[in-house]
Amino acid sequence: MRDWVFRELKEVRRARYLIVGVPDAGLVGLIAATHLIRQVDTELVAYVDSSYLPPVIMYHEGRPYPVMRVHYHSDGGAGYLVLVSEVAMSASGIHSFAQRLVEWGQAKGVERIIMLGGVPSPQRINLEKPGVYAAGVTQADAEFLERAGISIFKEGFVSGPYAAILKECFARSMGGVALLAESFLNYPDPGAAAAVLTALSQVTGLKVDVKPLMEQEEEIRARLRETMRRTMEAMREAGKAYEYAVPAMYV
Amino acid sequence: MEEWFEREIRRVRGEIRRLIREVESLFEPLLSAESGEVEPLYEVIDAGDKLVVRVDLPKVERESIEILHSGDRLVVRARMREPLRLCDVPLYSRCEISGYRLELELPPNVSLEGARASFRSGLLEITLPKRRVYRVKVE
Repeated sequence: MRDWVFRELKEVRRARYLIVGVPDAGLVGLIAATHLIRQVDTELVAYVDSSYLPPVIMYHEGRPYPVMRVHYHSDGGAGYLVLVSEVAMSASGIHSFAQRLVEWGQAKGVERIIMLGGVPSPQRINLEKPGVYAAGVTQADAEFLERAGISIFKEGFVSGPYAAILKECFARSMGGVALLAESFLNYPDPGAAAAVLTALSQVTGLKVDVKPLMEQEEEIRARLRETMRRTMEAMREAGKAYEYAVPAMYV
Repeated sequence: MEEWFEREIRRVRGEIRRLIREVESLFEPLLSAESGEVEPLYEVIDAGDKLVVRVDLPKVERESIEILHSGDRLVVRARMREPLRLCDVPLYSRCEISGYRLELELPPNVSLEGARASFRSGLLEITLPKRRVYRVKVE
């Protein structure tokens, strides 16, 4: 068996974008992708399985609901695949996950993988509206971001699953962009999730109402306490602390 | 040989600590479901001359926060403005989460005298000054 298997529940149509939201700093990716799936009309088309995921199966409305799922949304011309994971993957599985994800995305005609996440900021508590930075891979990514007016992440480290996906995109010259909002590291951060979804709307034109996310901010934080705690353990293994470091070439 | 042995001992001790933490965290939800109080997310930051304890307290009003200090322990309790109901999750289906309780062991060099606390956007921040260190000259 391969390290990561994408099990398609129905025929997966071609899509322009593959949006990824996995648990990481402030659970920004998980909160944003979950809200996105609820807000726009999506259907569950595939799920991902691996021995690198904890042996858990979730139930939703009385039926099994895989923890790492792919939903599809058709928005006129552009198709969107949205991958969301409820659980953090183990650090040893990150590289093979990135390889398989990019390979699968390419097979589905994806032009660009867009990752939603947070970049820990010690000043987060003082920020009413967190800023969003974008780390791209190709020249086309830079132009894509520039057109949308998103600040480019110029210096620093990106770590964890998104770093591995960016590296894989770079190796294959595939479009890859990580939209990273200034966030708390170890508290669920719906405010940062709203900021990345706003940036996603700017870059792709996909309309997402973030008002409900802000209205339920405290409820989301209270409910995701345990998920944040489990994710912290995985982040420690994945070298998350690197994001606080200044690269030597910057000195 | 000795170096290898020391390294192995360190590794085993680290592994035992990790396992204890893991087992404790495994039972934490069960205990909290019984009492209705859960341990909030928190962090302790050593900021030079002070220790900062930051606690995430969503769904809480400032007035319901209690900060107690006894011996070397700091206890933070807070009541939610309305209980958190997770009826569809069997573990929590017969009870409600109504508040938070955090108990921390403080290092001996911090003082409650001059301690300050602030609460903003659901985040409690307690600043505890460290006691001065006096140098005694040896004659």
